[in-house]
Amino acid sequence: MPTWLIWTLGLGVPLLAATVPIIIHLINLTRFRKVDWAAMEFLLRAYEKTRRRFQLESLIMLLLRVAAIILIAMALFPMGCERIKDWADDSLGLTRGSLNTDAPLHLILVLDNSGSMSYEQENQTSFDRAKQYALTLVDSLEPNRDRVTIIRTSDVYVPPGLGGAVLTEEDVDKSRRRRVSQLASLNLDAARREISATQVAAVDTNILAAFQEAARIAESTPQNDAVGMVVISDFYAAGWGEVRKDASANPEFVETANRIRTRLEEGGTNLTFYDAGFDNTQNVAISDIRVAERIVGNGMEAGILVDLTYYASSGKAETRSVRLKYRIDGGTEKPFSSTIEMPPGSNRRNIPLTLTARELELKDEELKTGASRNIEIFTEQADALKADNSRNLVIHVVPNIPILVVNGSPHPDPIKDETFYLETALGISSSRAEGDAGGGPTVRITPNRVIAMRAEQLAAVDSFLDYRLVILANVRDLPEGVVNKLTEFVDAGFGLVVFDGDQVDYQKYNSMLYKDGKGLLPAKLGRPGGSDDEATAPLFGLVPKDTDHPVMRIFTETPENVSIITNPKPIRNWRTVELPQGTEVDPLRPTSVLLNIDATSGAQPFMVERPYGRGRVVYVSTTAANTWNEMWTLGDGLPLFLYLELASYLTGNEARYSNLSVGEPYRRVLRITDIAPMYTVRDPNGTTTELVSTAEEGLKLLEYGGTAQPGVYSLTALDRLEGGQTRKRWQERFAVNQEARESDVTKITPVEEANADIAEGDARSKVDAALKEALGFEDFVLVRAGEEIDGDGPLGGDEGNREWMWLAVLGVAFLLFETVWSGVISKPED
Amino acid sequence: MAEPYQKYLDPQVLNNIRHLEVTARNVVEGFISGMHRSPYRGFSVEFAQHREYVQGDDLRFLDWKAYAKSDKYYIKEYEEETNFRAVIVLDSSESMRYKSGENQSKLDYGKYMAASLAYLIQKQSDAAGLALFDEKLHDWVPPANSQVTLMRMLATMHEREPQKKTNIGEVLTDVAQRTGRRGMVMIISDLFDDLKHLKKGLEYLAARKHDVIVFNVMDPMEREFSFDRLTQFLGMEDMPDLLVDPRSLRKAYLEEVNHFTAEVRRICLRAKADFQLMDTSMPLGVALQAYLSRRTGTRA
Repeated sequence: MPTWLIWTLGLGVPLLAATVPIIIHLINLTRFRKVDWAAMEFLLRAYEKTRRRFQLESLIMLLLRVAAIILIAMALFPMGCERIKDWADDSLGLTRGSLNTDAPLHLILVLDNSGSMSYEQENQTSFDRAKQYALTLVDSLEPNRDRVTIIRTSDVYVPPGLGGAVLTEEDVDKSRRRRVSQLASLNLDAARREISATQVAAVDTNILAAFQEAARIAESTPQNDAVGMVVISDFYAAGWGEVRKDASANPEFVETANRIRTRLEEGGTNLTFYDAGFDNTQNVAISDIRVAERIVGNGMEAGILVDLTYYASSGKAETRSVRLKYRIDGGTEKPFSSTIEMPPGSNRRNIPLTLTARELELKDEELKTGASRNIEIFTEQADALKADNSRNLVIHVVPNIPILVVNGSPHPDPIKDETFYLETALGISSSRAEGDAGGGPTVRITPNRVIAMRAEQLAAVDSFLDYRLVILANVRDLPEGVVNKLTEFVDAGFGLVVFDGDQVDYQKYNSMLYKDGKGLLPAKLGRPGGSDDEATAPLFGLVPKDTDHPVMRIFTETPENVSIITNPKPIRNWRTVELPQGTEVDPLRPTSVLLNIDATSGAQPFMVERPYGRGRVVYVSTTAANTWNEMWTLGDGLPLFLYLELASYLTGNEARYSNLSVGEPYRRVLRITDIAPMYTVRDPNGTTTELVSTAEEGLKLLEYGGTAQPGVYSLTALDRLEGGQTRKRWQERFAVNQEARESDVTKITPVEEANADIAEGDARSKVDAALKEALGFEDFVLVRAGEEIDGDGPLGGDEGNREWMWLAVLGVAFLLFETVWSGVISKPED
Repeated sequence: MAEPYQKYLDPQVLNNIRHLEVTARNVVEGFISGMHRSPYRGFSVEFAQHREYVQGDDLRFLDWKAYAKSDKYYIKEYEEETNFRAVIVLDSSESMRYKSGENQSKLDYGKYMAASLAYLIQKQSDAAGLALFDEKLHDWVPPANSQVTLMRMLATMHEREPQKKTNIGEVLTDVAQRTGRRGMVMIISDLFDDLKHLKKGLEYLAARKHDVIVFNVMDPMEREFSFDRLTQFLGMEDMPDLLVDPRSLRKAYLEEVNHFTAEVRRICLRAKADFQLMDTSMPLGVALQAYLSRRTGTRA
């Protein structure tokens, strides 16, 4: 529809209609009847008594007529309501008037389709309102002249090689960053179709990337064309948090926004924001579920931990009572928690669910070969944001977890053997339960199966892929072939632990494993920093450094657990290390120190971690045995807990890939026994896609990037039979969940208020202030859904139209009544 | 051929009231023979003067002797030839011109009423006179019981067009002075004047022992004010115009009218005057019949 026609219908008709009662009023003033009147004195006295009321009534009558006509006109021309707001507030509408009417307008429409946009109130979601406004904007443009570019902030990137092509690093990066999809230069009909077809994605908002894309598009628009930009979002803190950096404006965002602003000013338009979100939002979310042990071994109970969070935009929101339930593989739902009282803004972590093999319905055969189960956790009652009322968790039950321990300094005396203690600790899975004299069932504490090997045997290992974790303990050096295989092993997603010791040739380690920060080793090794003289060397304690690290959590949960680390002083000798510096630093591979030695010369790293490829490497600066320390004798089980946690953390890496966020690519390393002629993935919608295994530097990998939907996916390995038939060889599942931070439905606030638990007050002002702060300028327009007309509710949606229609009916009824009653358009008396 | 003014003697009206009598509630100074009590004993019929014969004069009073001498017709007029003297005081100010719809104007209604009453009075051998007024007394027909007087009254009324303002107080004083002896004064007016003037006039009449009847003539629209659309009211008697939605004023207006009527009633009661509201939408014969029937019933 041409712009001039929309303007005519949208504003002209209501305005013209509004003048009708005024015209009638004026006509009536000339179409009165005249009467000679004798009892004038009574009339004048009555008039004097009622003059003010009479004038007021006349005015009210006139206003009611005008209002009635406007209501009718607006109901007949709903777009007009939007347009009125446009002309009053929206820069697009305002500035079009000052533009050369022949100048084409390139409208850049940034549409937030993140998960939080599915927040629903009164049968209408934020996204419904966003799409309606977007369609109205497009309708206001001139066909064959203006054009639209739609930028969706939260599209899940599905790599082109969905069917099996190897995901490139760029693909992975795109998937992780949440793709901003751009549909450039659409004609208006195509834009309408695209807007209507857009769905909410279960991922967060990438505002910065959207603005960067918008700036690029704006600057590439021909100079003679005007550029308009409208950002439609719910402005919830989760997605918009990145426009800040360290509690202040993000310089990158400010620079990008100013580039856009400059280009918009050339065409005379202002940056416009449309807030489609709701106020007074409340959302109880299952923010995380995880397996306590990461991988459940045969005979172990599956410990599942659930986190609940109650996001509320007001601290005055009611406390919610929440009950959790679960079901296994879509079976019968069962409660597992009593009623949990959740005050607004609170969160409850580690709500436990323990499931035995029987409860997991594991068959004997599955216990031998391994199996997976999907546990769906959900709240008993759904709320306004349904997407996070349930989450899926796929747990793997494995017969065992093979861990290779390489002994660099074996000794006939177990006490002096380099790996005796370590093997015992990691293999504690075969211990009997305390107090059980024998004959009772074996209780497994860990699923680990420890395989010990001498260092000189390493060269004979064909592949480390049969293991999930490799531990090098005081190994002097490594042949180049071994280093390559280890690199392949870690890169595939497995773990490597390197214990130091007197046998280690640190210079060879640095050259072969550190490689100036590019190798496996997390830090550059130096000379020993302590003494190995058992008689005279002082002992130093340990200090947790990265208390949020998964390995450290067990020690930091309670003060008693912290004391397990901090009380004993077991370290006598250690190797000094240099953490990556300068060019050795890789932002994608951050080095983190988990524990420090509290030495007199200053804190010295004790345990250092660095990712490599898809796996991780941990370096321990002392010995695994009691040669440089007294850990196995002085601590209250410190090494037992610490190394078990470490092994669990590193071997759970594969399990982590079974529980993904939306958009995160699924990867699986194929061992020799896993290789099959054909693989398929079935997504939650039931669509099956065939995958092709790919070789990456000798590794057999399966990769799948189409994790766009939350839910449970199943990967099936198939044998091809004659006649085109297939037969299932094995099957695994993986779960994809909405990103937890999309559950945060509180709006952005200025920095000074950002730290408040729950911000109170006027949401509009807060959003406005936060945007000013983030953008660094104030000449933008903020329009809120529901404030297009009178702030009483959105015009959009069926509900809104129904309200308007009722008002229109009332308006018509009033006019009819008033007309009949007063004879408005009657002939004057003769 | 009947004169135009004879229209005021509506046969239908007269038929309604012919059996009724205008009775003076007060002791009327005058001839009492039969109906009317007189403070004077006996009665005398004294010749007063001659006047030329006019059509309608009772030929019984033709002075044949004078005719014989002068060849002209003279009527002998006598003093006190009737039982009582009634003066009909008719308001002919501009406000009496008002009429609504098919109703008669208040003045026309008053004229018919005056004619009918005069006819009735004369029919019962009493004397009826007429005073037409607006700001002042314009026309005066002395009370008499003669066809000539009645015709003069009708002719006078017929020629009179409504004009000017009302000043009833001064007029009533004038009428009282002209009437002299006690008698009956019938006021036919919308009374749209300062009620102080009315009060003063009625008190003057009461002081002279006149039996006073106040016929307050009003148009139904003046009483109901049932206008339903925007109207410009054009003021009469030099009052300003007013453009107004009558619906918004109706309540307050009716309060004013009711207050006015109540006040007139109160003034009449104090002056011992009889008050009768006459609605021009009501057939005159019916209205007069009802009033006179009531008055006869209350006769002392």
